[in-house]
Amino acid sequence: MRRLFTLRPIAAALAILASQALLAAAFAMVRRGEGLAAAAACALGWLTVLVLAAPAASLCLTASLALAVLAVLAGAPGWLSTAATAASLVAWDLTHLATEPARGVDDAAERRMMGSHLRALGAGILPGVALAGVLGQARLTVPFPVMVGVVILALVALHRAGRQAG
Amino acid sequence: MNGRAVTLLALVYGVLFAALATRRGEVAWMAAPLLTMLLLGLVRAPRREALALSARRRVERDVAGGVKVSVGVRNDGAAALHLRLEDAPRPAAATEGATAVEALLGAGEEAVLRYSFRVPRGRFAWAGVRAVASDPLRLSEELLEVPAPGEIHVHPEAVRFRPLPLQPGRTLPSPGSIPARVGGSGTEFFGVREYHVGDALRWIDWRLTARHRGKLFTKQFEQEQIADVGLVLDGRSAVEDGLDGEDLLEHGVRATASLATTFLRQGNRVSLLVLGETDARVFPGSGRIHLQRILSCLAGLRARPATALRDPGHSLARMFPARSIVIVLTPLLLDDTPLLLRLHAHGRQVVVVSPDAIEFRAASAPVDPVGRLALRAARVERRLGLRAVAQLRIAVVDWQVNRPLYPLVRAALRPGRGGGRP
Repeated sequence: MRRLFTLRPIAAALAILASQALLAAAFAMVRRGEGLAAAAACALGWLTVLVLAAPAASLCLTASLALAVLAVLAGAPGWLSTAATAASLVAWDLTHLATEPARGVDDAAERRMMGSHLRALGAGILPGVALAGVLGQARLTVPFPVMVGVVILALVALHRAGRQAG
Repeated sequence: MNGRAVTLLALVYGVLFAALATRRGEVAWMAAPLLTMLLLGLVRAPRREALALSARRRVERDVAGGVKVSVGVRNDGAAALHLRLEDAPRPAAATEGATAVEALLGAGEEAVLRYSFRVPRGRFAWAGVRAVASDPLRLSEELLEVPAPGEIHVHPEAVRFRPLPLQPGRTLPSPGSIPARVGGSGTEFFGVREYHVGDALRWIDWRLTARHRGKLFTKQFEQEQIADVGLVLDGRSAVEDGLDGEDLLEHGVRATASLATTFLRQGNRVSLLVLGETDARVFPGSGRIHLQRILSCLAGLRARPATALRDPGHSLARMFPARSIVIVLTPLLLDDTPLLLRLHAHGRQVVVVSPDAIEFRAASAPVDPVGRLALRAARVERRLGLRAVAQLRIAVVDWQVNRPLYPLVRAALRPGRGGGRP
């Protein structure tokens, strides 16, 4: 059990570094030094949150996503930013797991639960990455009002689904 | 939806709005992983109607005097569940084990919460276990209270005293260990009287009979009977403050438990009045079950603010019969004499055992001149208070709680001390 609990922060740290490395690569491709510095600062902040077990992982994810959007706007490839977003999402989830207080479960149950969680995480994120990849390749000319309508529809659907789920 | 899901939803909104504002499709696609994760969480959210959990609890004392709790929660449903289980109310000091676990329970599987804690005394009751069922990504949760009732009374520790010699003003006509100054069957010689029909031949005093022609005399022995002993415990919070986790009230509780155990073991009838947050009474009785009743009452004592001791009203006469022995455990604060006077009425022999709160706290008092002066003044005040009580013909025991209580109580119960025999 101890070993598993020490593995959680290591996995979270690796995910944080990977997500910020992808962001840094995106900024490097468009030669934006300030973006690189921001990614490094974000990585540092996130690692601090992990070490201190502070409840600020969501803030780090928000910062990371903002940087990914900025990278795209600066001209970085969309796939790289999407990959950075997916890695940030994994890092956010693992940070939550790592900063939780240890629960009194035995090693086998812990391993089973972690396995189930990680499988669900993969099942949740990978289709999204694939979808983003496919949509990124598609060249569709959608009029702006239609786009607004689609987005509003998506938001309303999400809102309703969320309300139904409590 | 929980906080995690709301965060994801807010980020999806943010990314989509950013995409709209910048008219960049690549930005919108970045929301795809967030969306799919969120949707998976919503799809796999546990449904309340599909949750079927049952629990059973075991609460027992362990050999070291602690309390062991184990709660097994079983998934009676068909689907596997991600559960966070938390026992409620959580005991203040769980010393071993965990009061919360996380588990992935398949159909028919069981997760067990095991912990133990140690407390000097108390009443603990559990209604159920808090179970939070969630999807594997913990984005949506369902809270359930699974009934798992349990209760335990942790009785205060009682020190084994040797028998205490009692000489009350009145004894009860039941065989005991207190010389009753009444002739009858017993072990100590009491006197001689003329033979009555029915007296056993072996008790005839043949020497005296030989001296008085035509008359028979029978030897009498002093009857040994039981007495009524009342215990009053003052549970005011002014005496609760302790040093290094120690608690003066707990010393009082332990002393009361020890005295009750001793008196009941001697066969006496014991009553108890506890002046705590709510006054508790145990009317006179004897035997083992009665001891359990007294210890349970002490286990549930909660301290109350330091106000003058309340008069328990009409029940006083029922609890403490006339000419009985009453032992009051109180640190003697101000305005306590009216109750002591009422207890002392009707020929009761009152003994006040006063745990010394001043010395108990002296170690934590400031060592500057003002602190020393305050300590000195408090000592003088206490001494005057004890003297005032002693002047009411009430025996007072000034008890430093780090010293044994038995010799002090034994000395105070000797006849001729304080109240003694009326």
